[in-house]
Amino acid sequence: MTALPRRAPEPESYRVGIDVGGTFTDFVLADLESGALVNFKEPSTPHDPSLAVERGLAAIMAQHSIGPEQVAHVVHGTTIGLNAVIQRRGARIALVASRGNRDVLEIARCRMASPYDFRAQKEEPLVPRDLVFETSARGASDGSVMAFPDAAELEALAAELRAAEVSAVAVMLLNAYANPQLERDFLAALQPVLPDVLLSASTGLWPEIREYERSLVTTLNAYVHPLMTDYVERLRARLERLGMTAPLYITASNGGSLSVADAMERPIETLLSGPASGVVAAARVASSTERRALITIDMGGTSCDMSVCRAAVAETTTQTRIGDFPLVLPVVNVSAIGAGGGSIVWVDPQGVLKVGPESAGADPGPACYGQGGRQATITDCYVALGYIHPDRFLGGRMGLDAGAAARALAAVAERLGGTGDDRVERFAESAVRVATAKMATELYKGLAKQGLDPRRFTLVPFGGAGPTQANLLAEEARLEAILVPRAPGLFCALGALIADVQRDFVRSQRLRLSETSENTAVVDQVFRELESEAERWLDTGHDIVTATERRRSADLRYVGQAYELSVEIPDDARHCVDLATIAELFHREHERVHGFADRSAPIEFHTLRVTAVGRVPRVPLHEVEPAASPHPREMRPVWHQNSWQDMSVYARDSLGAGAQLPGPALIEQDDTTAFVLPGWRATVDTHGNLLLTREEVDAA
Amino acid sequence: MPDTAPHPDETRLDPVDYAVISQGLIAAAREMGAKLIRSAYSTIVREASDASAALLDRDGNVVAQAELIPMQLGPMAGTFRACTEVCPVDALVEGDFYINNDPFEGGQHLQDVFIYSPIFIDGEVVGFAGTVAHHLDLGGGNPGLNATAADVHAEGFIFPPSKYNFDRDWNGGPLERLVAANIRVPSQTIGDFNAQFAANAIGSHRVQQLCGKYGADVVKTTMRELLDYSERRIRAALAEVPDGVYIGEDAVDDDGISDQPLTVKAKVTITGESVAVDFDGTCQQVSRNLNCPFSSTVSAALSCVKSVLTSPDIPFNEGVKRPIAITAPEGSLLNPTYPAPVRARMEAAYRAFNAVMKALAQVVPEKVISGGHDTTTVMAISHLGDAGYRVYLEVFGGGYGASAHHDGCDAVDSPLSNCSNAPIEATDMDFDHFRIVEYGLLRDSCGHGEFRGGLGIVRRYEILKDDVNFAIYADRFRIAPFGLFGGTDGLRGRCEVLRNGEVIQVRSKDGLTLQKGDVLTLYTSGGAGYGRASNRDTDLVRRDVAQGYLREDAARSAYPHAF
Repeated sequence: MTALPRRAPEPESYRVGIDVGGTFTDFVLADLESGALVNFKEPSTPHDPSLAVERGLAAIMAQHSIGPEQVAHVVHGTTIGLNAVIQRRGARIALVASRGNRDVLEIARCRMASPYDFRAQKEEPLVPRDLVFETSARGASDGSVMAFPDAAELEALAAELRAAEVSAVAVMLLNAYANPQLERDFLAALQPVLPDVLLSASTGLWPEIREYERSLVTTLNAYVHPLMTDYVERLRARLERLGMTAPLYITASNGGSLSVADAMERPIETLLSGPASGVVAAARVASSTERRALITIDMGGTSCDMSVCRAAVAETTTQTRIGDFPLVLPVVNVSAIGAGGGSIVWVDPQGVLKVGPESAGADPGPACYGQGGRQATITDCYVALGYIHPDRFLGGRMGLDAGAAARALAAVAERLGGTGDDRVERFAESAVRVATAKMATELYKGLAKQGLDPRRFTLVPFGGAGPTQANLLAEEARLEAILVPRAPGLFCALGALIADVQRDFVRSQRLRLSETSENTAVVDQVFRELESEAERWLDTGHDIVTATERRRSADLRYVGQAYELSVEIPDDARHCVDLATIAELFHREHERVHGFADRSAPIEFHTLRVTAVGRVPRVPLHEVEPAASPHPREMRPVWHQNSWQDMSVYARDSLGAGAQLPGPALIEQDDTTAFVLPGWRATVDTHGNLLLTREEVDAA
Repeated sequence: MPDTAPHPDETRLDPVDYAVISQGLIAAAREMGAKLIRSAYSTIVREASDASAALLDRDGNVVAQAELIPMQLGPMAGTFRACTEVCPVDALVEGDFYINNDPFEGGQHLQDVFIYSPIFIDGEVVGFAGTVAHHLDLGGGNPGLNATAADVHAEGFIFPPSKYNFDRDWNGGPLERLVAANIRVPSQTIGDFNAQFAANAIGSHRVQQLCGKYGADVVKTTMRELLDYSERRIRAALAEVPDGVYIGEDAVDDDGISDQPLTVKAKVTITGESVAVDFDGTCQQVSRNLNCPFSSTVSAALSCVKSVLTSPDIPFNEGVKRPIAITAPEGSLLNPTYPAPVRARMEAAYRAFNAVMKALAQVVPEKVISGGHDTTTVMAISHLGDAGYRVYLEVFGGGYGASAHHDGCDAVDSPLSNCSNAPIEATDMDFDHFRIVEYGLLRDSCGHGEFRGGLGIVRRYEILKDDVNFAIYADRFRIAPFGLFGGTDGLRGRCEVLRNGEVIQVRSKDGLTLQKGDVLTLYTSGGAGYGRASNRDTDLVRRDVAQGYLREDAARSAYPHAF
């Protein structure tokens, strides 16, 4: 990694991270000097999410007597783009493809969603077929231009596109990944005859081989482009009204952030930013401890998502989905492992207890919300078992109906043959056990796919239900430690606050990895070109960046394989492109992930990548005061292992550094309740994190 | 043997333990499947998921299986039992494995090699981890497609049901050397075997973990209960179907030599909670490679019955098969005898699937689908250049059959497999003896009805070198996908070569030498319609015209009520 020092950050300033959720918009404000963090929640305004942002910013600045000029930097996460794709509310756009490929989106990869379900349907393309047009322009795999349209063809195409009345046109020419100039020339020739229409080239966004996936990147981007532009401009106007001149950044799916200019041009890179920000925050919190190998779990309303960080850094994947569509851009690797708080607990006709995948969502929500939900959920189980106090949910802003939870649970319990006064508690505990076992199984599977041993990892739970479930999961999955951060319910806003500026640059280059100097030169040349592209990008309008780095990675495979493995190329191998080192890294990665390596087999490069990172100044981590030995706020009966047990309940904000709490215990805070099991101990560290570990087992 | 000793059946299995352990077993099988696919070399394994992984109890009953493609549902138990007849389970030691690919000993075609590794707990076998993968090349008479194989020996290397030891015989040992010497691309094929062993190892490890936590007896009881659970679900679903005998018939176009269709007949008998499928009346086995080994017939019939009559969430295992009896006369196309060649078994397997579908249409019209492309259409375009052989091989989708609820999907692979296409850009990079100049939906190729079938595809190649070798095996060129309940048939597939202004028609099982400048075009068949065209929603008809799925004149004649 290369670190180039830049100028020092402004003194005496604040930074704000903002995350828009379905119910609340979360704010975290950091004092950049002391590291003090301030949290704030403002009810969301779904018709115009920027309104809640303006209101919340005004309120938090007033509360803490901060002038608008004192805010140095605002980072905002939004789900505008993702919602537009899932709800199909994006723009009317056209696609222009090389002749013979009009149906590239319709045919996709030729697969059914499920071969066992005759009713399964293919994903409906974002561009209807009558808005896909063809051109003679096409490249060859060696980068040469096979055909280019003359003026008459361009004029005819422009006339069709004008008549289509679209807000943007995406262009995907066959083999343009091998020579992006082809699409640039095409756009330059088309724009004069089609002024006033936004044109975008597939290779301008993502010049990777595979025409369907690249078409998707281009069309998804054009599809969300107008909505994102409108939103960002509205948001900017609101910030100006507040007198704020701070640069605004938008969080990205790769765990970084983008300037508004980039986010408006490349909104596709922001689509999966929400889950990514949480993982970034978890990695950052853990980096103040000695724990490096992390499993983050984000347990919210509808699901529980996990991510693995082997070295306290968010990891990315290029195999994910947006709705039904495959996405090949690098995004933080997050996968669903099971139920969320709103997942429904039910009994199937053969009498087997099941949890999810149906969820009561936020509306009507769990039965205990008292909003008309009749079906029992995991949150109802937590209430019935005494994990959650019905009067202290969301800091007491939302009272829960314990009776409604019990009634909903009793109805399902009876279908399982449950009788007796304690049938509700017994059933609730069984349901939580089933949900926990499913999570543990999926967690194992997720780790095993990467050849990792769960016992080395520390669990970092966040989301409203994460800390409640974490110890149960750790016990089931035999994990050794849990790190509960200070504000797990506002983690995505915290992730936004600390996100660096980050973008990936890619080139497909299939090439044998061999000792010949010719191939070495090609690989080195491509990496250098990508790096200067990255450098130009970092140098343009990123005033908040104080240091930069560029990371090289390559997707490789044994010749004949069709799946690649990504290998990060260390600094010491990069200057001379040490192919032998890269080969050995690949063999080792293959062995780790797949259980074997074939050192006699030839290897090929498939895709080369440079990740450009612009470091923003670190927010120092705030320290908490040591406090006298902790006192429980109350003793509460909690159902555990088939009986009621009195457990100590603590207020999180009363705990000082160094406090030790033996389990069983519950630790309550506004945004969540952490459960410490018998046999475990919670320790508060100097930054206010709770570290849960197993009690030493004495022979006595 | 410990297995026959009294089991803790009396101590009823805790329902939560059951839910937890059964989830663990199913997840372990899926984990094996994911691992197998990702680390395999064979494009057929990776892109078509032509592989499967399962956990079996010590009697060889599949307890949990990764449901990758329907065609691999079924053959595990048969291939396993053939191995135990050679070497009983009691005689196994750590490191041993069973292997079998014999089509006449429970296997499918030779490319599908089954490997089973015993799972030991305290010296006792509690079950097996098993995998099957379609191997790229197992030797035989020709690389790629060998339509003229006279018998199964010409199709590759046979592993009779047998037992070997991993450390002694594989890993550089005599079996590995024997196999490597008899196949064309040893590094890749041996790599795929290693992927199978690695997947088996992870499955064994997961079961051992479960046994360590809950005890081997509880895990074994859970395995039995999983079988019983699936059986109860299937029986409950079958009980809702009216009793009766229902007949269906379809045919493979021809055997590639004569024009005679190869008829497949199914008699489906539903009695209470069980169903019997008998293929009596099916034509005799043939001399070409279109014969369908019995285990493939079972898979095809089973997946049709399971998909039509039951819900997709029933976990597949041996319990699913208990109420379903499948028979086919020995020596017929669907139960051929040694030494019949079987490489292109899928065409007949699809007709078995279709014949059962037609029979079930008479009793559960709401749940069936009309005939679709339903073939494995493979083309190989190869060329011997300066740099050696370049062999291009691709499998093509077509239109899906319509149902009582939906139009059939356009351009997808057929129901017994689920194969991805290859990106044109990847193909362009790999081959210089041809170029793909068109890949699109084939307008008007669907059958009509209240719901229309899916559209087939058109794929056009420009040939760039002389003396290019071309081979195809396909079907539905002669006998169209069938419509149901008034829906019309889908359009038949075809293949042609344009040479110097003249069109050469290619048969469904054919080959010829292509020259530079030739244009080769494949049109795959469209799915058939369901229900009367006059009931079709007029908005849907107008959408199909506006989007160019149908030409206006074709739409006018099929759906006059919409205009």
